[in-house]
Amino acid sequence: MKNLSLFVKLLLPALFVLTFNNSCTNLDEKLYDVLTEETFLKTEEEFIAALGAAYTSLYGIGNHGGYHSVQEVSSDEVMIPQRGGDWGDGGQWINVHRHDYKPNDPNINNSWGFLFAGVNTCNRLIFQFETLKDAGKADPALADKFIAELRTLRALYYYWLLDTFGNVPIVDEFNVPADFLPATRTRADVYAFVEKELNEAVPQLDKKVDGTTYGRMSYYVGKAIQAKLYLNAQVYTGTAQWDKCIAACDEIIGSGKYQVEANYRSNFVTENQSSKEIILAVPYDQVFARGFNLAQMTLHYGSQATFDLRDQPWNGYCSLQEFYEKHDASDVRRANFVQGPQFASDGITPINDASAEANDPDGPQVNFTPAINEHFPNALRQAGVRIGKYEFKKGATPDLSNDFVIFRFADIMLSKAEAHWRKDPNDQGALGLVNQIRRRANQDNFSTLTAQNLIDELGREKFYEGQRRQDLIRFGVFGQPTRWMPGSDANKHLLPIPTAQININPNLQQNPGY
Amino acid sequence: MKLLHTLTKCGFVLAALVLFSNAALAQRTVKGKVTDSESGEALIGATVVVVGTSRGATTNVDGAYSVEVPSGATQLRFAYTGYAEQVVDLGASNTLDIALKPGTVLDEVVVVGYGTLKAKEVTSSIVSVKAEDFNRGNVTSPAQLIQGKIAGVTIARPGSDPNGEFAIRLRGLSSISSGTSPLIVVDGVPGVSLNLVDPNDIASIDVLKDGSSAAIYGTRASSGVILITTKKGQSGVTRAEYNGFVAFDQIARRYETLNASDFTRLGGVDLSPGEDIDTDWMDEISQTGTSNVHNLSISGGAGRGSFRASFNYRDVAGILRTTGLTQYNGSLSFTQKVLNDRLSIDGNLFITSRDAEYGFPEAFRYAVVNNPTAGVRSGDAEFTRFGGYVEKDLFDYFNPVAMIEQNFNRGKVNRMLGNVRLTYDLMSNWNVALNLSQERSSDNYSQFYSKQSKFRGFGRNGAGVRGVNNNLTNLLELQSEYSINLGNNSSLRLLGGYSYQDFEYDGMRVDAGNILTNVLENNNLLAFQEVLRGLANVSSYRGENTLVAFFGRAQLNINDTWFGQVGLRREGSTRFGENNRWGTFPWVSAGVNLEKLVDIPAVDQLKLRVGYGVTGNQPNQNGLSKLQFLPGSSFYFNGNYVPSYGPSQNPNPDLKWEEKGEFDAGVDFALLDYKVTGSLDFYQRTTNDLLLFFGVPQPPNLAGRTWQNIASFKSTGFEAAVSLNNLVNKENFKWTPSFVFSTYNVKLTDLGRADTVASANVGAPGQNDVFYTILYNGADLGTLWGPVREGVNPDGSITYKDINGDGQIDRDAFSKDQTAIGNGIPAFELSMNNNFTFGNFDLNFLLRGVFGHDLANEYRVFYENLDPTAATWNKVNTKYFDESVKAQNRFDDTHVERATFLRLDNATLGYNFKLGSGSWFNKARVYVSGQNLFTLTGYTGVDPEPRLADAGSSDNGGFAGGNDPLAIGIDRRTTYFLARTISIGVNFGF
Repeated sequence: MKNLSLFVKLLLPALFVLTFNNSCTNLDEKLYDVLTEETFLKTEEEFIAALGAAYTSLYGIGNHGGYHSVQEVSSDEVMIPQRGGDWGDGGQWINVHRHDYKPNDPNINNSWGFLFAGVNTCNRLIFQFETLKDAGKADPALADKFIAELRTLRALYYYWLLDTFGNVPIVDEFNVPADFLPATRTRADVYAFVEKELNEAVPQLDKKVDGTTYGRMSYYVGKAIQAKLYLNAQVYTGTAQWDKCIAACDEIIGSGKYQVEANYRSNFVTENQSSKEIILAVPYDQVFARGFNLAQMTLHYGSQATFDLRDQPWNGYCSLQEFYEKHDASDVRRANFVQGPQFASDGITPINDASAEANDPDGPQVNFTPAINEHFPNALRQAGVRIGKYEFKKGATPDLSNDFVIFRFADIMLSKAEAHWRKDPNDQGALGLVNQIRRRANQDNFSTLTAQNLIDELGREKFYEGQRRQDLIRFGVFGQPTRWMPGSDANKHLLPIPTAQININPNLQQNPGY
Repeated sequence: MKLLHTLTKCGFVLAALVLFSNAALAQRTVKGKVTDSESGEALIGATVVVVGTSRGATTNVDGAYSVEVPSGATQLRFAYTGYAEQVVDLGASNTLDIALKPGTVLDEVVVVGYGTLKAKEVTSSIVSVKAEDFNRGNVTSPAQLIQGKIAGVTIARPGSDPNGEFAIRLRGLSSISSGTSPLIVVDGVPGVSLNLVDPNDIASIDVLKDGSSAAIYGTRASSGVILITTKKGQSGVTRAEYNGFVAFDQIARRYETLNASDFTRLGGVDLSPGEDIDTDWMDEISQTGTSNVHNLSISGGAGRGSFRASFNYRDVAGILRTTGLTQYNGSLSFTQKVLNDRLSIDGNLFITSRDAEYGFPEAFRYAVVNNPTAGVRSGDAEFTRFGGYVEKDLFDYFNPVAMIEQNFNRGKVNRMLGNVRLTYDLMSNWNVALNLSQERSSDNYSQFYSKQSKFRGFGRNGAGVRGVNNNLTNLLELQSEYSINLGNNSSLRLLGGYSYQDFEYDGMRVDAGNILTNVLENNNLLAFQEVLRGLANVSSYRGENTLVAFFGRAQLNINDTWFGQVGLRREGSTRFGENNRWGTFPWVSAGVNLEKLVDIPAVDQLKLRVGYGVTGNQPNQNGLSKLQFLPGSSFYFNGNYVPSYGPSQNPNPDLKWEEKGEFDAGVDFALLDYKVTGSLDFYQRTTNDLLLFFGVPQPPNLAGRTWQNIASFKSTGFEAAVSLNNLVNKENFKWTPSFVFSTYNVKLTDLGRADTVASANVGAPGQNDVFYTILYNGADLGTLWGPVREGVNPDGSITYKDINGDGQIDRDAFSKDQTAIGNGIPAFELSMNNNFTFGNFDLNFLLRGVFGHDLANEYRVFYENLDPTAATWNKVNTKYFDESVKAQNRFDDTHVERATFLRLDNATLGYNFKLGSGSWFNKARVYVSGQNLFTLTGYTGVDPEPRLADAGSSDNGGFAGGNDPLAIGIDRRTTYFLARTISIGVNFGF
């Protein structure tokens, strides 16, 4: 037992030394290849880099599967037919086009995730910038400018949420308890929030229109959001706000800083950043700002040879015959579609599809025809004219460099025209604005404005700009049956709240009709 | 350098301990001989241990031993595998000869965490397999040595990819988050790679199956612990041994596809009209793989030192052309005793260098779907751009011969493990040990895709990839063991220790395209235009994490009849937030040797044991508790693109240890004069605070998912192992069959807030956002989920069952018209091992069966129906092929097949030459061995092995997603086909 006591005598001090000698028990984590709250946001450059995260959260908009895809495919201008074994994908694209939205469908949850990731990123940065400003660690003028931008950007995301999901939680804070479960707010509350935020933040924004504000939340971007918010106010709240819409449009038009480009297509070429017409675009670049995958989404597998694309496209998105045929042959906007027989980049060698269906009337040469034989399951692989809204540069990677247009001056003119027309169907100013847009497209003037010719004109002018669904709802024709859509009720003006979100946040309420 | 710092600080403690010890020990030398009590033959390699000390010796070729006995020691313990252990009191004589009786199992030495135990002292579920019981034949991984040998240990490598890893699962699933593989401990060094050790150099493998045995390894022990003990040299016995074999691999199972005439008859598109082409793509890409393996070892020693050196060479070729490996492995171990035998120095060095040809296992998939009417090569001008290989502009369609001939995918992997252990006897019953080790590995990989290769090369005008991953692990452990002899064969052993382990990793990767000429391959990355144009993908990373632990254990033996053990490990990890870094992992177990208390007829040994232990699991990545800022896409600021930095994840500062509590009750028995031996185990495990990357409310969270402690699951299981020793026991013919059986079931008992979680995307073409599996509260883990096919309509379309009876069939992933259509977890596993000896021949074969599990056969999910819109792709022609089905391929219940199988895993016939006394050799053996000789199964895929984690979907020549342990039972299109192997080998001892 003498040994035992010696054992204990030695072991206990040894354990004591090991336990309390810090280097023996030091478990502070060191991260080498990332920055943390301790190491980041020390310089003005880092401050700018932090702001960038809010804008780069927009880069998801041009990719397949989320917010923009749902906007387009739910409208009458785009569909993704099930091409045999391709593009079934659990039926989610058929469901969306038929307005048979399923709260479980991934594209619904992706839309929610995209919009709220943007909101939450803005909340985080507003919190961090305010904290640094209060601690005297940031230039207050710069912080305030950035915070105003972030509030406007957040208002843009909330405007999209208001338009798409309607009744959503309003969260404008970052520093919340870990178990915080925000509750659903009414669409009217969300509208009021967006209006208030814009009223407070936009006056603080930069009025310059040049490289320093390109792709950013400038004063006129704020006005454009207001114009669209008020144009749709009747849908959102039941109360029209035509005059507020006109006032916002007039500020943009009256500034003289924008103009309608002589060439419609110059807004969508690869190097479209010099367009005088673009108010807000996501400044995509194949190297620096990736994520715009339109060529992959819409072109045929064999089209790789037409544009010498780096990767084989996916042969999905196309437009509808009825929509395409609303374009006169003389309309310059017909160039928004890729149609007809397809050739390799030499312009001579036809592109053949070794998997062409036996019943394809056009044979094996790839030929994008407006007619689509069926929605699902056996749409022909070559069926449907393709989305050529943006130029496909030869040799492009899957990440196009064309800047993705969100707000455009022509749209502001048409919004102003529509607001006047809503107030007075015979308003000549409105007619003049619409005809100005038509003439640019090489089309004859309308003599009068009607709901039909106006919604059709909006469709031609703004094809694939993510606004068709909103415009159709505002004109009350969203639920009208089409060849591939059996008709839907007003509940389908809003998307369902994703099941995945309701499961983890019991304070969320499902939208009516789901 | 952090380790050095820690070593100097903490090593001080050891030095202090040594200095404090001042007891001088007198000693004497005892010599003798150990023989077989029946035959009188000398037993070579029997162990002799001075009871109550760590002193010992092993017998030489003549059965002789010599051991230093300190004063105060009173007993010697003699042990030899397969013989009853004896403890003999020492008298005044310095000579002691012993005859051991054959036949007992409970007296073998079992390696446990931080020490060894006699089998009879074991109070938890531990299984030890010695070298003579290992599987033979073309064994390339240590895991294969014990495949099918241990109840509850599943070892599988679906397919026969020579560079593929064997997945090892103990008791099914321990966790469904990170860390599903058991902890590997080589000669006391935890957390090392199984690939470091050549199978030829392993003396025994011990598996700690339950919580009470594994808990001493605390945090990484939730999935069990595998302890590998390597062969050692013996002082005074110089031996050399050569093992070598040549092996031939051929495709054992393949998918049958339509030949050209059937294909065109059934509406397939003829790609070469007017020509008579019928390409068997599988023949074009496969080969008989020939492998050569050589192993040479030398061991010996003199005086107080011994050593063993071993060199291994493997040259392995797979059944897919351009797959294989060449590996060199060297190992060196030594033991030296100094300071009057009080200080023992043990060292090990393992070095492995592998040149791997990973090749392109995707070729199997494209060989299945490639059109049989297409030629392999063509002189037509249209194929010049593809280097003369016939390619078509089709989605997910590549010429598999071009794929493997135009491109390469290879790597060089180097690993090194060095460790030194110093054991110092402070007193005869008290030692202190320091264990230091370092493991290094570097994995260099290299790929090149030709400018003419449609697969990953053509669109990018050639592409090259180079990268490296480096790992460095440092270990420092201090431990001290003290034993108290309580008299009457009773003792108490106390162990205390400290462990510090530091893991560093770094690496980089460049993936670039567009090169002037194939001649440069990927040897000059600057030649790729994508580098200059900013289009190349360049990445690098570096990280480090640390585990620190204190542990203590007390083992009580009362009269060699009652045994108990209690212990605790307290472990901290850098991977958790400040307040949750430390976890406490206790265990307790007890056992009784009933045969010592009551005399039961025909029962030689009967041990009851019961134990409970808590183990932990940490996340598999760093930095999860912190808000991290990473460079993202660039931000257009004032006319230029500038960097933008944002969070990659939601931080979780509250993240803590996942904990598994496991109860195990077991019986070890020997009956009928040791004719029947075995053990039975029942266990129940509850895992709480599972670490999962699950949904969180968004808003307010930045990202939709966070690593969090969420969900619980419970599993119960039963295992049995029975051996009928010398069931037939004639002079010239002996047969010992043995059986192992295991079964378990796993239920999710809580899924947190998420009420259903789908996983395992089926994938392109056409089945993205369709999922194979679903999880919900109360679900059996492994559930496969999908629609139910009701029938085929005259037009070839399919009618699905309206499961919720609402009159319509919903198509979405979670719809109410889907249901459970299978389960990927086996009902039970059973294997039978047979040892025959007849004269100089021996025959060993292992029949292994896995019963009651299902697999979703993905080749059928994508390539079965005669869909007229997909008439260019070939079809898999299994027994389920139905010409009347014209619908698009869509996953449903008919693709889920029962994958029960019985396989002759391994059969080896050997001949041992009788050697005269004048022979150069002391051992000479030749053998022929076969693996996967047959598989009895109704499953139509290439390999019916259970899939316990999902490899992920891959489309159009892309890369598979990864390793999802939530999705079980999916046989993806990435599976390498199964090989049948015949090998011929020799074994000489000098």
